[in-house]
Amino acid sequence: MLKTKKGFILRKLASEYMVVAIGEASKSFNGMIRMNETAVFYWKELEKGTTEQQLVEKTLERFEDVDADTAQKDVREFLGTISVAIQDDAAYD
Amino acid sequence: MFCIQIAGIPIGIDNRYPGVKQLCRDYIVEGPPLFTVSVSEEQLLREQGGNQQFSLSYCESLCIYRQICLKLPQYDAFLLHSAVVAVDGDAYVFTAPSGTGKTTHMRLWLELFGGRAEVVNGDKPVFRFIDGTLYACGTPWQGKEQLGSNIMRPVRAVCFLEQSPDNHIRRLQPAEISERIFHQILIPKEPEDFDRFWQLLEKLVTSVTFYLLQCNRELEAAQLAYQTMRQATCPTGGGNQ
Repeated sequence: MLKTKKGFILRKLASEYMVVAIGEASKSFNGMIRMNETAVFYWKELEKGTTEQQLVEKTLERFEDVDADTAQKDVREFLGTISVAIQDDAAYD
Repeated sequence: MFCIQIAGIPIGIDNRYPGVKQLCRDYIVEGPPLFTVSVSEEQLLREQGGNQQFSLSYCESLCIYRQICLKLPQYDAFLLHSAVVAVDGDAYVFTAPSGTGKTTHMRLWLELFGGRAEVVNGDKPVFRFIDGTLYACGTPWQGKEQLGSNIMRPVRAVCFLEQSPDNHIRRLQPAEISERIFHQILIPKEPEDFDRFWQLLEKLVTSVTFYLLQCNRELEAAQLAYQTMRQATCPTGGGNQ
């Protein structure tokens, strides 16, 4: 199962969302990841814990005019950009 | 051990080397401090990183200021890497990565305004919200040129600088501010301090007017910046509090 790593948090500054690292996590990541509306939606699912396949399904539910291939590609791309902030927790699979 | 006051906040410094006290000489007060900072020998050596070019006394001064700045959000204050010049009592803030020309631009203002202008801090000023007004405050840490003085001035506007052959200035929207400002601030990483800091950042970005000045080194750059920035309304809503 994919989950956000401890210490990575979603914050809003003015109208912009971003993920930043605090506490221990800030020692390995000292920047911020900008998030658009879709990214925020994915992030909130990841906070609860999810899988790549579930994210694709949620995407298809949320955006009716998106096809499965595009959804798969978008999800994979998103997971790539925030790989530093997530962990694959096999113990919960 | 001695006590200094920055932005109206009394701060204790438990130092090992005399250098930091010498640096702070214009800021020393009686106390008692609201909090005290000190640096361990181990932290000093880590700061020095095996580079003997930097004395331990200098490293102590850097460590102490970083510790102070990480505590400041508890008192509605924070560090913003910038050069601040006041004209007719209002502070104009210029921020950019090192080497862009903040000091050079500030010197244009000094040339343009003469006795009407005063440097608040050339490199590492502290900012503090007091009764809703943002103040730029002098600190002993003021960059290699050592430009600055122990004064507090209300902020009129903040301006990001970029080098350019021609001079242009425009207002920035909050989204544009948030992506630029991250490189210029020191973010506390302890969860409680972080939350406090984030509230201040939100207040800064939403209540203060920000500009982007693309400029050369001619006096015209300072004239354009002043004429535009002076029209910004103070975050007090008129400065009449």
